[in-house]
Amino acid sequence: MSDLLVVKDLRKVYETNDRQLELFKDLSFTMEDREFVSIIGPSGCGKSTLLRLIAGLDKPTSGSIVFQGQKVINENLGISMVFQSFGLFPWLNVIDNVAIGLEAKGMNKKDRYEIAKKYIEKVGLDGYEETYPSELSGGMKQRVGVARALAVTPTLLCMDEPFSALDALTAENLREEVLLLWEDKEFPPDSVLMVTHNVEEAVYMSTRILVLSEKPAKLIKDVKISLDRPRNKKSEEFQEYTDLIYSCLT
Amino acid sequence: MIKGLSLIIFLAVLITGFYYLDITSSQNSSPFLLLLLTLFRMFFALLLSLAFGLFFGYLAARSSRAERLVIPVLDILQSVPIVGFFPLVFVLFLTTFPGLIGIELSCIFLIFTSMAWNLAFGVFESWKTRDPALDEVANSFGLTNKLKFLKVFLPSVSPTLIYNSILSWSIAWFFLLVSEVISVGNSTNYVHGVGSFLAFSAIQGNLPNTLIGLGLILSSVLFIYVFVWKPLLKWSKSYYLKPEKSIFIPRYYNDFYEFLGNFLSEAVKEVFEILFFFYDIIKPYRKKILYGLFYILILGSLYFVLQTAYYLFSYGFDSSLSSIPLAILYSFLRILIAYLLSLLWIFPVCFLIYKYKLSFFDVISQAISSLPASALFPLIALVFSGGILSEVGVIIMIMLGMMWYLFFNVLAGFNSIPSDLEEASKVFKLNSFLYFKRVLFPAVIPSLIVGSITAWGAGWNALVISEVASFGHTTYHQLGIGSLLVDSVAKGSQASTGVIIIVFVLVVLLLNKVVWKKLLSHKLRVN
Repeated sequence: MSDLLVVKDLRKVYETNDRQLELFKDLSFTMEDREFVSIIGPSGCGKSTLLRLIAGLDKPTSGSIVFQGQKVINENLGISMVFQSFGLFPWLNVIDNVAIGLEAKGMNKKDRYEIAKKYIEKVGLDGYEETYPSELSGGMKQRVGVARALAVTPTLLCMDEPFSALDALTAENLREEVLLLWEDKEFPPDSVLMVTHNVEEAVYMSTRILVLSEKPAKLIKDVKISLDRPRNKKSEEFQEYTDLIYSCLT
Repeated sequence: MIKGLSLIIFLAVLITGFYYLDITSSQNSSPFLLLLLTLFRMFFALLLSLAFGLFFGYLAARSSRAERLVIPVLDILQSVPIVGFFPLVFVLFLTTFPGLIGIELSCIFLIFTSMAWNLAFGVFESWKTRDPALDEVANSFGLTNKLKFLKVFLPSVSPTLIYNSILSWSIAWFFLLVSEVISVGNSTNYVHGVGSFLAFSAIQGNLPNTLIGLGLILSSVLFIYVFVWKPLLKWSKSYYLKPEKSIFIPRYYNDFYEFLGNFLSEAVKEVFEILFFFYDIIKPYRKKILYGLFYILILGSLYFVLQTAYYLFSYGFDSSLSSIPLAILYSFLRILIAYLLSLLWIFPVCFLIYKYKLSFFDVISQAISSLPASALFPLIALVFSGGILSEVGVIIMIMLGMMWYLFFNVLAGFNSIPSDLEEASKVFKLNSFLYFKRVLFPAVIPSLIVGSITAWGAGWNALVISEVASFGHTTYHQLGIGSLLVDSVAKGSQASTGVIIIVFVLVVLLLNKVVWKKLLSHKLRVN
């Protein structure tokens, strides 16, 4: 397996008027193809910022991020993103929201609608193509978010606490669907990088968990989850993993 | 209590000092002294406007019944140009308080009329659109009305208050030349201040004095902007109620301002405590008092209309009234041209500021916008006089009066695009055309409309100082509703003044209701 993503000696500092806020330093890790990696850590340790640096939305103070052998300079490459607050365009209906990345690629209306429809169906929103985001529930909005992120067939899907704004049952369902999509070889994404603060969620979904410390955040634990799927949250091994992660966090 | 009391005492001392300065100074006093007097006056007017805005904005936002009363009344008052208040001022202050106090009160009241309305609307809108969760929190912890006012209401409207105070402050500068020279009929009252100094120098054709007055005004505007408004604006940003998760907003911090701010906010709270004490006394009668006030207002305006009608019938039509329709058409076309010209530069400039994060330009434009463009007015009269040139002068003046509303609203529209939408458009690699079509344009449209409403309102108001101007013997006087109003006020003709004001207000309200509100309520979706 080849290295999909190499993060090396990453450091990010925010300058305020007279103080410096160091979010993380000397942060290094690699991610391979077909992995589902979760980043977990105390709140405010810069997990979301890390994800934005990888997606090229923000620039590191020092250090490097290499994706598929190329240095990440700005947003580009095969990285797509699902936002915690959905990030849907309120003035576009569902199908236009999903198709926005395809429209950006210069695809004509017929083709992009065709692809968008496929993904809308895949996330179980068929019939809602003409609906506007304000008329959707939180869970449905995030389905649109997922469909939009997948429609551009990304190599790496970044998800920033994608389920934390949803109720437990909706989140549960959507998690299953994302996992099914990830496992489905026909469909993107092949690799997923997810930021979360939910330990059970991380253990349930990931192949690997990176545990970060308080800021300035460092990598304190890299845990490989070798459980068979579908995973049983009640099983002893599952409990052992969650206990292990919790012990790192406290 | 100590801090609140000391603030009240401090204000009382300020007022006494101001009054002393006022009676000892004359039109020939040092321009610095005159500037100081003007600043005091504007400060008092701002305090009054803040109190007015807080009270009526809160009242309107609290109950829908009050909203139905307050908002239309404010709407009408807002559309009355400053000169339109002259007859009212004459009756209210000049005849009731003869002498210096009457003139001074009229002047402060006139400045107040250029400051108060947007504050009230700002409070109303920000309180109306607040996060409902805040109320729920307040209720679940059983906060009393007093605590709700101090801990929820005041902090959540304070960004609006600060933002609108800056706006009011620059509008007041814009109309200062009119507010400090109160002329009704044959009597012209020059209030001691830098505005009247400037107006006086311009009428005399005294160029050095005109330039001194201008320089003083410009430098004080910049000084206040840098040392008062800018820090306040920065500070208020940490009070914004829209937490954006992925963006890190450092809290603005400065030892001196922090100290001053803490002291002031404590003191203001204590002043409110003291006010609450008195409020509790009148509380049982508050409804009666409120409705009484409104009846007086409504009866007063009815009386005004009836009186105008009476004058009309007893003295017949003034010849100038026949030119009203044409005057309105001319004025409308001028504002339209000024509006289109403003849009032409504002849209691209705002886009560039937003796109390249030119925050320094943001600051510069804030400062420029608070420069009193009308102070340049005598000079514009000097340069653009005669024929078509005068028309250019009028349009420039109208533009100076209206364009900043458009500018700041459009800029705010750009800046209000949520960070996650921007990130999404980056992640999905929208090209510039698509970004414009799918993100920028739809995001800016609502604020563009809101900005247009205020800009047009300001444009109508600016007519009264744009269509007539003079420097020494160089004068221009263009036919329009603004110059008609100025003339009839100067002639002291109550009937035609009344008719022109009524027509004026009707035209402005009609445009608001028919054009802008329709556009605003219309769901704009660009596909």
